[in-house]
Amino acid sequence: MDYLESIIEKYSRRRNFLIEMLMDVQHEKGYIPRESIFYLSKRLSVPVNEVMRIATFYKTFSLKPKAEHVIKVCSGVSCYIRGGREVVEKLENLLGIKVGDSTPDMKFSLELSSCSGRCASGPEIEIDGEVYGNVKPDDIEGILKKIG
Amino acid sequence: MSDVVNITIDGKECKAEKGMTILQVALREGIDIPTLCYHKDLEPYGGCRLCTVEIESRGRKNYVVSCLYPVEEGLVVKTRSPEVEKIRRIIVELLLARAPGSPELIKLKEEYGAKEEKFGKEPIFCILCGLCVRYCSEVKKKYAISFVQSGVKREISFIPEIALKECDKCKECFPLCPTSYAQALYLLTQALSGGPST
Repeated sequence: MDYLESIIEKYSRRRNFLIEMLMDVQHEKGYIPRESIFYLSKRLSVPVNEVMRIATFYKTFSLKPKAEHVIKVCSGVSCYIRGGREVVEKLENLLGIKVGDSTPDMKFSLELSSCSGRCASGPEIEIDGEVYGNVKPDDIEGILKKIG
Repeated sequence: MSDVVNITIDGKECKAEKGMTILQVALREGIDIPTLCYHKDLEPYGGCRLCTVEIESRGRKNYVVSCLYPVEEGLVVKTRSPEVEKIRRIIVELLLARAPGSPELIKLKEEYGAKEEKFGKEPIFCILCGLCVRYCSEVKKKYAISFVQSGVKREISFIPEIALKECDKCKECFPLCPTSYAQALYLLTQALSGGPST
């Protein structure tokens, strides 16, 4: 729990920085480990259910570890009507998981992202920071093979 | 500065202390206002909106939730009016879509002539009144149950690490729940964590 102690110290143990602390945990670990919720609650004297409520409220925080490759599918309206829904369905079928989950081998996580403004090239997916535009359901298998 | 204010509820003149809410005065005067999320030992929450009343203050008409609205001098309150009834009827209809079959909601449905099928069923059974969460935190100070997620996905969730240790000997939130969902969710939590802890 050393990393938590240094995060707590960074904000002088002040409970009104709970969200910032959780953001640091998310950044450092890639997710919010369950123990960290109990630890923060105890050290800051904030009720556990309060920390839990905040940690699950914001989309930034994930209570599940993220896999090696994070696939983000744009859920904006433009991408959606240009075929984004079929892209999500195809990804769910190929990976055998639902949005928000990771494959059991921790290779891929699937999530939705907000509109990034590149609507003209929708439907769009982003994998490890690399953007793929005009994605058709049939392209996906190839993209996934290329990555891993 | 006097700490006593005069207000009128349904034509009845009442004296109230500053800081009281309309609902508290009405309860004291024996005037019936329906509520789902109110509990005398808990902080007012304003979650169910069922206690909506019509007020007239400085010549303006407005609709407010009586469990949160503090009394003020000269306030005129109507706990029943066609508009108030309509607001409550729609609230009951919306809640019934989430929690069909809840005895408390069915009673309200009959009282306000709500139609159960108006919004189509989407049974989640929790109406997010927060009674269980707030009772556990404010009265019992055990924090065994929490609100999680946001927006349409918002729901209650027992925290197994605490609930399995504390809930068996308490269970005081079960009868507070208007839909019995708290109890059902607790049993699910137990089952998912490998049965009752001994």
